[in-house]
Amino acid sequence: MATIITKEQQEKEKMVTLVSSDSEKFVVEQKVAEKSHVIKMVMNCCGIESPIPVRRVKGDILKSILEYCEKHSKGEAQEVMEKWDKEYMDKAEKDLVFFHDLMLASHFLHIQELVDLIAVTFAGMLKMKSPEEIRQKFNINNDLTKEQEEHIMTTFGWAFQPI
Amino acid sequence: MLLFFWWLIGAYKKSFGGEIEKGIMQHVRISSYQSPVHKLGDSQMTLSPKFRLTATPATSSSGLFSSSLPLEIEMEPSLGLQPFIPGLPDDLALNCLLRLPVSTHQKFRVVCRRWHDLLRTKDRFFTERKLVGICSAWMFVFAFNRFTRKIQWHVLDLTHFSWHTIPIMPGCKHAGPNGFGCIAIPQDGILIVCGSMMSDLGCPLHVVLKYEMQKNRWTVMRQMLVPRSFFASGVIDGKVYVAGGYSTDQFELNSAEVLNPADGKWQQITSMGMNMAMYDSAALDERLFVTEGWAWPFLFSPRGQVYDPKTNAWESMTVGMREGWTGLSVVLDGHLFVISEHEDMRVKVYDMKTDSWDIVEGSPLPKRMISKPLSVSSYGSRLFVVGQGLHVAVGHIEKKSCCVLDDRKNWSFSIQWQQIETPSEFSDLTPSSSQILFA
Repeated sequence: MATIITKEQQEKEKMVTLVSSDSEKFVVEQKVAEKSHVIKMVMNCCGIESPIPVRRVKGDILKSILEYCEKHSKGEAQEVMEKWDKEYMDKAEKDLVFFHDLMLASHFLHIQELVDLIAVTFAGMLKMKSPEEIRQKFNINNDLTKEQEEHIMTTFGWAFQPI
Repeated sequence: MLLFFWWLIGAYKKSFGGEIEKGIMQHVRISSYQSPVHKLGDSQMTLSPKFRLTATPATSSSGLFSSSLPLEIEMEPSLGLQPFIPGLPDDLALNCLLRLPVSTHQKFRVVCRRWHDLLRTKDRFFTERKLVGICSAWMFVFAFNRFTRKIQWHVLDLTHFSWHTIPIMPGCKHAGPNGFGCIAIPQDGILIVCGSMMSDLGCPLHVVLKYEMQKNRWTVMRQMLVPRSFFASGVIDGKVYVAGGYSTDQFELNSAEVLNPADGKWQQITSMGMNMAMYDSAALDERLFVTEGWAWPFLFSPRGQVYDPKTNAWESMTVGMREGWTGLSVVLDGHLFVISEHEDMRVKVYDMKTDSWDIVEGSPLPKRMISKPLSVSSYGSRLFVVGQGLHVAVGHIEKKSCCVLDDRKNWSFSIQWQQIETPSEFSDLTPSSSQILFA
């Protein structure tokens, strides 16, 4: 099929289709999909003609992730981006299940900027909680004995060396 | 006393159940003294971490003089530990936990063993951060108690604005701290302190000390070639330059030298061409600027010299620059700023093209909170001023291009001040130097 490719077609060919685990299809620009290191590698080796299955990510999560990637591929001013990121995270952290899935998906797709943003938000969520709340909420088994726990609580960590 | 537990680890719950997480789990960094890697299946019995409760003092992992724990809980590394946060691959959980503010570490050490081990020591914390690629700014403030003269370092986390300490600097517990030269190599998380003045003897030494964030300890380095105090210093291209200052017998020095932090060797460079003790210095434009500053009764214009490492030569500082250099300086975005001592603590910026200083628009330094003596440092577009009692004011600098004349761009700057809360325990502390490090 040796036809002349017009500029328009070239532009059109830069679109790529991603398919979520629940078979939802998303058509996005190549530069948006490239934000994911994993998808970028897949596109580099397999091309963008056929749809790329993202089997481990559900439709609602993939949609949210692509929304992030699209915003971040525009090259807007830092201040605008920071504000947008904050709103994006505020929305995400309301639903812990969604937040957890988003975290794993961004990690799996290797979108480092998003992983870091989520990590900062997550650390912010943790810092207000008590150790007991953390154990309960995240199902962490306390494998310290009572003795050890008391000992830890009565010794100063490096952050609190007396002045 | 040794306690052993047997403990069954359930199958690692995988949210995405896949090779990726498994791959990551096998690369979990547990500690620096890792045992040979065992291959583990998904579910199996493993020998649990060994807890060793010992009554002997901990071999100081945090420096020469740090307070040792009466009891040390030592953890033997073992694979098959429960994840940091169930349902998250360990590297992802680490990325989150290594961002916890320092002030929360104490309470989170009791969550479980692995959290305890991660947050127990600073060297572990900062080494892990480096491995994961997390880097943020920390302000190291060198201060002394104005009554006891005891010197100490305090560290302000510039992300969460909480304070913590580092091990005591070896050698000089009570000294006149102003004679020290404190130099940061920010990207490596390294702080170098050289020269000092023993308060009893009144003689400067050529001692050089290095503090590394990732190791959380001080090391004594090779001495300077010439003992000096109150000298100029600056980092250019990763090398530490020192010049002038007072000699052991209180004479002003002409000599200068350079330290290569990689091999710890000092080398003499061309002398300044005049004997001078420092008022202030700055590394700017790959050159070292040194000025003696105005001195009472302001009869003579201050002298100043500029060193260029490329030519290994000194030249005189321009008149405009040395006459207007009326306070502590800080370099921000390639521009030289001073907090002017003689002009109501206003901030001025130097314009090299016109050899003049311009006032930075905005309010002056909030004097009610920040009183002299000051120390100044900068990071990004912010400058940090530390005053008596370690009160901190953050100046947010905004840069605007205002006009283009004769092919040269002129900038105008404005500043907004913000104050940081400081613990009341610091009220007797006087700052001597502040340096920014990244780790």
